[in-house]
Amino acid sequence: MLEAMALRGAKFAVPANEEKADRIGDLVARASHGSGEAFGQLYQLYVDRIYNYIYYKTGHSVDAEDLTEQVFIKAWEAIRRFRFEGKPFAAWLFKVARNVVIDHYRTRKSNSDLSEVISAIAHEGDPEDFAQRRATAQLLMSAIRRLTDEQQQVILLKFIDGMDNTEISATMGKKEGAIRALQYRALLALQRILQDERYGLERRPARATS
Amino acid sequence: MSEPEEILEQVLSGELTRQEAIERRPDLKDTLTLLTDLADDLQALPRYKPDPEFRHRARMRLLQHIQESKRRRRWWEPVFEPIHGLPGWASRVSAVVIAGGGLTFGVSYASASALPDDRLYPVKRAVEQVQVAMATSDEAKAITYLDLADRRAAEIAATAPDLDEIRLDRLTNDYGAALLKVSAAVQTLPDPSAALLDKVQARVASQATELEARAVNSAGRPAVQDKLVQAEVVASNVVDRVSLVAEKKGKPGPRDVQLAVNPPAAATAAAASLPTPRASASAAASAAANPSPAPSSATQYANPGAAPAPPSSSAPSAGTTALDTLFDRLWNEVSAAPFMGQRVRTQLEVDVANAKQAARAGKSEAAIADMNAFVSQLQAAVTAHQATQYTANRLTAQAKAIISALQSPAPGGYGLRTLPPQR
Repeated sequence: MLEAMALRGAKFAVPANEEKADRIGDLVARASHGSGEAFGQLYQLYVDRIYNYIYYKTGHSVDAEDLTEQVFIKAWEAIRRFRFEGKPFAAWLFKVARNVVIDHYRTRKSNSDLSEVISAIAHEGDPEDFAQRRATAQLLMSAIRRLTDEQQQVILLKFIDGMDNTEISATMGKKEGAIRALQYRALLALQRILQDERYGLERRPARATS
Repeated sequence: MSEPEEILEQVLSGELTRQEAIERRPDLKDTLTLLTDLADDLQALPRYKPDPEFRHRARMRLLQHIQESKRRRRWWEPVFEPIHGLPGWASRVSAVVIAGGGLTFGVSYASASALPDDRLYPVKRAVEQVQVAMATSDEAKAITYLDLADRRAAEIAATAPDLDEIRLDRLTNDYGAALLKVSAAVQTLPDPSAALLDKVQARVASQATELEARAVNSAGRPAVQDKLVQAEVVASNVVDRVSLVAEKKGKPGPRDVQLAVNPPAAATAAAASLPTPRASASAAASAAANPSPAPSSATQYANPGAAPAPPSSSAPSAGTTALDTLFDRLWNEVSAAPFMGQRVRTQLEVDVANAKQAARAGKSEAAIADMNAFVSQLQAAVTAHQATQYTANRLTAQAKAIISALQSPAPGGYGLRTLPPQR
């Protein structure tokens, strides 16, 4: 877990502008024609996001490493079938990642726990509200994992990965309106779970800055 | 617009401040506050990055996997090369389907016997490319190319009289290319198995014999004959080289090393390719047209114990009949047949000589019995790997023609212009 470097609050580079999208489109096109070098670049661009997503899904750094590797190998095998029809590559890649995680749990009864995530937070050098953050993270993580798969997906993609609704819509194969509704219901469900866990308004003081 | 999920989205995307949102939907105040706080909490959760070392190692493994998967794919690349004579997609699809092994048996079976004129011929060639690509060991590759050489030789033999020169040229070049691969494989293998050497020698020699026979028969088309002779010379040359390899291995050549001991003069002149040395080619052509045992092989085959008098030299002058000519030709072929065991050869020569004498003495029954013995000895020799099937078939056909002539001596019936005077 020590190697799981947590960067609190830091967003991953999400290709937002057109120039970046063009570059990724070019890399995808080359990779789909067999360029290992182009796919290597795609790996560099996306490995952190995929790892983080899987880490949140599994709560286990060793699993996250294994599965991240699997995602990219599967993606390479499948990239020839991928048609870059304006859909974001990230959406496709996260679909692959989600399936890899689902397969992982199908074949192996999950015994992962959140202790690692919590410990990783504990190792962050930010002593000020350490106990508060730890408790918050612990509660949030366990609550997220009690959501339905779709709710979990939208929460992870939107708030943990930082995708915009267009990308989430492409990843989940739903219209953006449906994503907005799903996001609302997911947050409501999460809130309810947290309330059940006595996580409520009283935790606010430590987060007053936001 | 005023739906709760839309309001929440506008807050999350920064279009509205919380305050503005609550002003629009005061009834949702508590919910919106809770949910936007929650969203903030979620966004504040740590992002986990993989350990840089893992990141690097995983990348290396991924690139290695990519390289390997490309190498595996290279396997199939031959399939995707366009096949001459068939639309690109058709040959690709056929080759993939056939190599993949589905409906396949029928098609590949049908295409296996396809000749250059047939519609399935390009399919056959495409399947062959896959077979070559699938052969993994060097020895397996040698055998695969040997199979290809066999097929090309058979195709040449079956179509040579009808093919135009360009296509025959392509076919003989393909044959030469396959043979060169066989030859190169045998010569570069660190320790070629005796079975492989045997197989290559026997089969290429058989091909040479077959091509030689076709060359003899195509005297009417000099261009075709030239090509056939060239191919035959290359084949003989390859047999020669393979025999050398076998000898170096301390293994005596199988059954008969006539071609190795005494290769056609042109074979040594011609490089192991298909150039067109006019002089040597025509020299070989004339040699092929008049097959006669070379001096060294004649002495080699002369068995002091049971040397039969060569019929052609014993009774060439007066009273030579069409039947005599058949006997003489058969005797010559037996004595010149490649890869035949010494004892078998002698026995067969004795049979022919005896049959000829009996026929000349009017003893048709005895002559037929001798020829039947000749045929059954040939079959036994093939079973004992003392003669090649091709040679046996050829000699058997000639023996049967003689038997037929002996049984029904009607003039003209078997191309016999004159009857033996004894009959």
